[in-house]
Amino acid sequence: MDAKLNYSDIVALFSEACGLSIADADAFSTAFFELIVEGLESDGIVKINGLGTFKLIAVENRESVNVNTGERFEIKGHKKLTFTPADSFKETVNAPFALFAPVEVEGEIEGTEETVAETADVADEDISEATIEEPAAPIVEIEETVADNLPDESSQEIAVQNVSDMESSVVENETNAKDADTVHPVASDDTETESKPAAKNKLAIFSFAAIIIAILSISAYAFLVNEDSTESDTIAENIKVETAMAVTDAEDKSPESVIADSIVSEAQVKEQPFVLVDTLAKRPLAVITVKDTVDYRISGTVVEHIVELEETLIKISLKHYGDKRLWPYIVQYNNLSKPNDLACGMVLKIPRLVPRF
Amino acid sequence: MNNKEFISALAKKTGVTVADATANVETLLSTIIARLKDNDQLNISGFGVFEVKMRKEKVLVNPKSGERMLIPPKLVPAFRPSSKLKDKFK
Repeated sequence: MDAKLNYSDIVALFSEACGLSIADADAFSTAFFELIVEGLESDGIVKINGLGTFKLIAVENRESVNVNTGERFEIKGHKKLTFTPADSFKETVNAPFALFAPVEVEGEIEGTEETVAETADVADEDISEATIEEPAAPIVEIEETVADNLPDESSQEIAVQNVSDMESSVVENETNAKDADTVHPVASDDTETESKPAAKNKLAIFSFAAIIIAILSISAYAFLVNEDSTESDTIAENIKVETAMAVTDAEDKSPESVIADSIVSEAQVKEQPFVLVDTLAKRPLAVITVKDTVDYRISGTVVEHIVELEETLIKISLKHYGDKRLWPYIVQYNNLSKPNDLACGMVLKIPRLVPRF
Repeated sequence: MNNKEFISALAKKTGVTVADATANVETLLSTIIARLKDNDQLNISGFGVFEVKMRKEKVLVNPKSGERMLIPPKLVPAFRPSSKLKDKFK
């Protein structure tokens, strides 16, 4: 078993089996193998019953690359010797496994459909994101309740940003906020608050409440952003691509933030004001105002794009929108049936994307 | 060259009758096959190597009906020509 036998071993076994002397057996075996070679030389094919068929097959010229130098060279066409075992030979050798037969299997087997699934996944990525956020549909109801807060929030947003230019009334609010254990980045003099008239107190309480709501909502938003960023850097990048315009920001945030209000703990609220200023400052100016890629409408064509060599939809999307996730709009707009097969020189219409909000 | 031609040529070459040659060839082949059945490797210098290879089990999908077949593992006789022989036919 599993032994490696050489020619003399075979001759010994052969002479034993047929009763010839070793010399005769050797002569016969040698003639046998030599004749196979001769037969191949003359006819190109030798059939031996019980063993199989030796055949010469022509191999065509083909080009190859030298792995060391990278040089291209041609492998000359030649003839290849093949051996096809006879059925009886195959059966005899396969005897230990003969009892197995092909069986039909049910269900999915790992590794068989991966290639198909992969391409589908890429396309689904954006859609799945959308479906995750879509449960926020009850926004409509919430928005009504929040509607009162909205203008306050936007004004507070500006207030927080322009803290340095603030008038005394806001300073008052901030000191109140300090009293209420919420840490605020800009603390002001306590002396000023005492000198203010009582008429302003009402306004102060109102705006204080608004600040609290604003801080809560912004911190909730920042909390969400942080969560997203831990999920993947790319999403975080895309979220940053928002306008620095505080008003639109506040409008975008309000529905989400109110939902998340209950989630955010007091401790986080205390920390948030610092984070808030940072995130606002870092936000770059960009054309895109909506962080989700499904929230766009297509309205008209911006420009026609001619596909260059080795260009992908993702690259085109990045070039025209600054966001690589927006390529499905190009596919949709151009009715591309095979997004994976872009032809060089193909003319693509780049749609103008308008945020839905 | 078919089996008949091969046997007669072999008989002529070795100087035995065709019947003897047939019997001898059968014995030789059964010796070889018996050894291969035991999973041995036969190395015939100047000619090549006879060996048995195991093909692993695999799942095939019929593209038409979509049914999946589990093909069991099997043992397949194989022949590797020696480099000398390969060069000869090149």
